[in-house]
Amino acid sequence: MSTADEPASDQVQEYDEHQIRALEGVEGIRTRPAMYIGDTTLRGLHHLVYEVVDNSIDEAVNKFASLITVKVHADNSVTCMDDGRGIPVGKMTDMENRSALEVVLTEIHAGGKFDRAGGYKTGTGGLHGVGITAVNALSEWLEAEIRREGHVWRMEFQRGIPTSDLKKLGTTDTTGTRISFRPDEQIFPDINFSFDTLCRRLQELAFLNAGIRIKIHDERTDQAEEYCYEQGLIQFVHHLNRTEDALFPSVISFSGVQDSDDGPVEVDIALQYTAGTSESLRTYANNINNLEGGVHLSGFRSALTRTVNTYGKQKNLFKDYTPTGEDLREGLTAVIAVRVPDPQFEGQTKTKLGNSDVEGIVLSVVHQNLNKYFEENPSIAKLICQKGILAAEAREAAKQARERVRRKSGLTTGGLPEKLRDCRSRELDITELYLVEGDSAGGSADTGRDSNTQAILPLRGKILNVEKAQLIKVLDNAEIANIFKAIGIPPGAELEDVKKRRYGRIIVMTDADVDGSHIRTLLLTFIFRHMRKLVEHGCIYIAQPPLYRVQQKKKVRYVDTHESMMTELLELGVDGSSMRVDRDGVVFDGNNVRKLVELIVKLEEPLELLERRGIDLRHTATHFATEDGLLRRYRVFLGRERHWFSTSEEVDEFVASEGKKRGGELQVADGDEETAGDNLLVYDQHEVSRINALLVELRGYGVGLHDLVPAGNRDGEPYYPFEIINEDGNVKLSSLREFPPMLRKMGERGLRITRFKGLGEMDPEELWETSMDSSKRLLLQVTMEDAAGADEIFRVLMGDHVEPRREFIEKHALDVKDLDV
Amino acid sequence: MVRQPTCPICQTPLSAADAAESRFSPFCSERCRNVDLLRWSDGRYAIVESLDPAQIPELLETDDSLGFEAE
Repeated sequence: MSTADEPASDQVQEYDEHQIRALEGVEGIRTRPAMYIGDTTLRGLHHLVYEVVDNSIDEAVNKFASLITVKVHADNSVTCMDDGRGIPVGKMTDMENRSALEVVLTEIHAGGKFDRAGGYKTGTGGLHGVGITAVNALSEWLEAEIRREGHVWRMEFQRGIPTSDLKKLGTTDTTGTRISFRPDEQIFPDINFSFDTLCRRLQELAFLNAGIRIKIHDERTDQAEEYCYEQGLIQFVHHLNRTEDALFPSVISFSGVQDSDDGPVEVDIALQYTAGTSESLRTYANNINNLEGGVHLSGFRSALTRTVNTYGKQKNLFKDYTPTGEDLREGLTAVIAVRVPDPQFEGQTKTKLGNSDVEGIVLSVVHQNLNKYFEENPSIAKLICQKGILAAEAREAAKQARERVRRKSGLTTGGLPEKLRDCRSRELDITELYLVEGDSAGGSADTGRDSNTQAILPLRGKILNVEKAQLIKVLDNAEIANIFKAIGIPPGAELEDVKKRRYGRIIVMTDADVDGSHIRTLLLTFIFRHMRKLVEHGCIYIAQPPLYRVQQKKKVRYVDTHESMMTELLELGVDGSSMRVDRDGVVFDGNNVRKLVELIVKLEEPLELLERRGIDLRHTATHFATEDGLLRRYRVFLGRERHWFSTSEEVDEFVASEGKKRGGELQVADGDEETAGDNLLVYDQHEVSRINALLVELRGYGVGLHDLVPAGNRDGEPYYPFEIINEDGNVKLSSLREFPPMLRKMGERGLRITRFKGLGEMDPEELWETSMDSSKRLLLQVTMEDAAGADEIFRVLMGDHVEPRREFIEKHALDVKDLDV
Repeated sequence: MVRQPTCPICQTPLSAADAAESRFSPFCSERCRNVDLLRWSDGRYAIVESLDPAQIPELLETDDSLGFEAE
């Protein structure tokens, strides 16, 4: 197939041993092109362009060129131009006086880059001295035009053989190399260049070589692109992540140079994490994309794993899981570029970097710089650690999920839970499963139930951590498995599975107190997350066991909540009571007692809030109340003195005048009054406005702030300004705040009240009667909104965010209703 | 408490359509659903409350379902 000898036959006179060697070289390339450019498919075809461009890049990297232009012509010939120094054209005496240009284009292992004297300071890609000779040998024709030393030179070739001498065309002010060639159709079955393929590589080169401008123009379609990236790898990473959500906005980048035996090795790295899970690592040695990686990749990986793990352990971030190297690469996008003086490539495609000393160099550059970055950016370091932990956890979770499928066991199969007390009926229309907190409650429910239709699964929901004095409520693995097994549907069940559930209704039954509501939140969250279809299908219910049993003579009643019990007792106490005010002998009775009590009950919560701030009501009422008997809302500390103000305007005025007195703005304290020192501290006590509004209403009954404070002694004897008058006996009060609790106490007369500390305290009959008997009980059906709300509360209650949790609990501590779904 | 739903594990915001219809809901993916299930199975989801040390003996006596967990 070779025709290389045809043009050469015209030049028999010059045929000496060097020529023969050169011809043999060109002939060798044409016989075995794959040895030089990989293959002769489209990949090899495009490689021709890259070989030529690489030479221009080397000029540019070493600051001799700044612009590279590639043109694809209509006949699939290509022109590559740069504004570098131009390939030398001088005659080489040791090469039979042939020009350097000719030698470079025809001799294998000839080129300017074998020693540093060529002006190349750093590792170059086109080091083998084969590249451009191969392009020449595999081209139907090639034309080289050199601008150098004030002249323009040209030489032409066909299939690697010169067809003209080096000709001087004229003069020029510029320098540069321009190579045009048309791939040989005898070698390449398809010589149609792809614009997109060329663009991808040229853009990559522009990213890898910051500041170099590369233009491409396709004359076949008139498409054109231009690439220039001042920030190089940083922009490369942004580009790779353009369709991803970044975990943090900035790209981490660093570089370093270390000496190896062959000379300096340059390392450039940029990396960023995405919210996703795919890994995107690109490695380059001397601009060559190392598809199989190599020593720089392994050095980077070791350093990343080591640095993150050391940091995470040092900062105590790894508790349940320690991420492996693989975990730390989830969502990682990184570009690792090295320049090596004498790169060794290995592997199938000769793209795996093999220089063993580069591994340690990359490792040390990454370790030092990344560690420094972590110390300076702890929040980003933490994000990376957390991402790694989640990856480790996900790996474990996926493994367990696969196991479940493989063994067809675990969470859903392997028989019914031992603790389950099943019912006899299998008809979904009538069957119910009670999820009951606590073994003893489970026992009562077991005895009290209708065993034809009602099944019981007792759950153990609490673990007490004595050392930390914490009450921890969890469902352990066994309980989770029991729930799935009893209900008979797998995690993440679909609608068809819902039809296969073992019971029509699933009823969550927990204590009526705050504890119980937490367990209920836990259970509903679990069901919402992993048995969602049951909620959508309306299969989930909440039982409402009562909190109190009230016995009056033989009659037994149940009261559901603390609030309704308190209201009821108060009402009983008010009935038949009147109240006498000692100072003027006025007696309130009937409706007036009721209204007075209502106001005082309303006062209780804001007064408690105020007292929880450490404010003594007696002291404040005596010394800091307004003239008309109201409290002041703002409490201000300054210079170890305490001041009270009613409005924020007064506070502003005070602060301004004190500031003027002390010459300048006041220093605001960071802590509380203990640590405030001479600094300014302003407390806005919102509850005071509620208290004042109620105090104004109380005025209408001739009582006020002072009546809320115990009267103390008068003439050495305890003084009682108020007295409750009731046919069962009168009671003296030292303050109005004692009024409601005393009335409740009076309301209890003749009643036996039991507060259930838990379901377990109810006997089976009581549990049946109050919570399980379908003719008497009140079931709440859980909607998707309820369940999502439980999830939301759960996130606050169990979350890592301590602050919102504290806020949440404080806000809801007095209002248990909000925890009830 | 209405806000944009997010995946309980990775906090990725979920579109209303995904939140309502995805078979992984309320998670963003099978992966996150598995992670959550693992956390339940490991007993790592807990509602934690600080206790007044004085309450502990009382709780130990009254509740038969209490156990100990050594840290």
